[in-house]
Amino acid sequence: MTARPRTVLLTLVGPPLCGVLLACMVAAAWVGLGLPLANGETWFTVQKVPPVAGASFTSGQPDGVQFFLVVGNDSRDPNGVGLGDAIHVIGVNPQAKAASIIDIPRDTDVGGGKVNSVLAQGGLGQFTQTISRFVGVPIKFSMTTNFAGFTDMMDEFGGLDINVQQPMHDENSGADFDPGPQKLNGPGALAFSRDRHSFAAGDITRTQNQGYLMITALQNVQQRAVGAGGVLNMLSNVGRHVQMENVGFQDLYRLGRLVLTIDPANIKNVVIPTGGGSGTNLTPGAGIDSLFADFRDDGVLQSH
Amino acid sequence: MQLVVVGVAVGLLVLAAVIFFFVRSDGGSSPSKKSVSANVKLTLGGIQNANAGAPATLGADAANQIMAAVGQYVDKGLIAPVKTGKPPTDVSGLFDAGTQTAIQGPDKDVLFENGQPKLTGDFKPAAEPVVITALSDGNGQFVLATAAFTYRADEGVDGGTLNTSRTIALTFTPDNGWKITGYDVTLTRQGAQVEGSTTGTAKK
Repeated sequence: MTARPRTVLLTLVGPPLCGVLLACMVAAAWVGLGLPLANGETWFTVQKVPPVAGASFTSGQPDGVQFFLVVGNDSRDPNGVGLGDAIHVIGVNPQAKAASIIDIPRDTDVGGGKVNSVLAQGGLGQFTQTISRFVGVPIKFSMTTNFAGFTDMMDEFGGLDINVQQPMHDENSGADFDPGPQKLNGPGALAFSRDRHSFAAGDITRTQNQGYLMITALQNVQQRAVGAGGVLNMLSNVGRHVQMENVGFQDLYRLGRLVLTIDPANIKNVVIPTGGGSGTNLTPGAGIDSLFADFRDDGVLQSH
Repeated sequence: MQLVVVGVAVGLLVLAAVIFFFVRSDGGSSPSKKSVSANVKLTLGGIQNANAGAPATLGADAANQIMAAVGQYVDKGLIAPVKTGKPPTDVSGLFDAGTQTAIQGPDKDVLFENGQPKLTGDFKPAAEPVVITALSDGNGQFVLATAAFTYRADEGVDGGTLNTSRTIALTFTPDNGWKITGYDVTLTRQGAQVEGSTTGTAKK
């Protein structure tokens, strides 16, 4: 007798409850399988294997911010190291897939005279320490090349497709370029990097052009899609023509593969502010501390 | 006198033949030209030496080790799963420590076959010869090498034939032998059982 109310309750509530549950299951299946609503449409598609997929990975790539130094020196001796006339500190942020180049004019006085003489007098190790202290970043490794090394390297690279920004006609460097797209061979790339007489701002614009040339080189490599074997060929090219400090080829390969994933549009190229004119012994200019602080925290310039 | 000259000449020829045979058969200076796969013709197509310093040539032992690893990758990672219908086993040892997480993550189904869709018909794998590019440092030590090749397979599956093509570049580093430290693989599939195709689709 006591079970009668429960039986009545189950009789009344059971069928609707089952109906609701069934409806929910049908709806879930409908949504899950993506069944179409209209008659005559495909009602069941077997999801098997994707038509296209790709995977690319390099073990041991750095995940923290990397700072390194690239220096062009003026030695005409193929095996020599001269004045450090093209000075660039590069910060790479793997997480942000972004980078910045800090361009330091050769005449900058970092205390004790022009910075470019430190390379000729103390070698790449001492020069790296000097620049590291000046900018306030831990430079992991550095590399330098001279006139012959740079020219041969660019020729073996196959030349450089570059968009020249303004007229460059200078007998001293050999630059003779109208604005617009150009294909530079080794001597042409060297002339582009050395020309300062074509610009009102002289060495400041030249220094910025050197950073621009590096970004363009990255763009060229990306467009040529050289593949993993091509990267090894490029590294051997670098190794033959560049003097390196504190870096081996495996590390360079890992960093290179990382840099190849960075969109050139995400690379800033900034010349440090200097206090003097475009002549000798330029003093660090106003705002340099702010620039270095912006660079130091994550290798990427946000406010410059 | 003539007999002596002829005798010496014959002797030198025999000596040269013996040296040639010795070098070729023992793999002392030439990499093996034999297929490194038990299932598909997979041979060495050539070696490009990328020298950062003085000219150096990748040794036969190193080339053979790299090719052996390529063969194991193809046999265990691409062919066995299709034949057995199961994901690959025993492939992690081909890769260095830094790649272990990646090869077990999303890259797994690009690098390897996983046994799906099930093979119901013929299986015809084919591969282009492998080209090795090897980088030596300033001291002539080989520090990195890539093995690049194309692998294709036609598989009979429900609904027809599935054509699979992989463009593969495996980068090796010396690590107790040569281990894979990086990879670039592009995978393309066409035909039956491919997502988005009409095969496997039923209509009301």
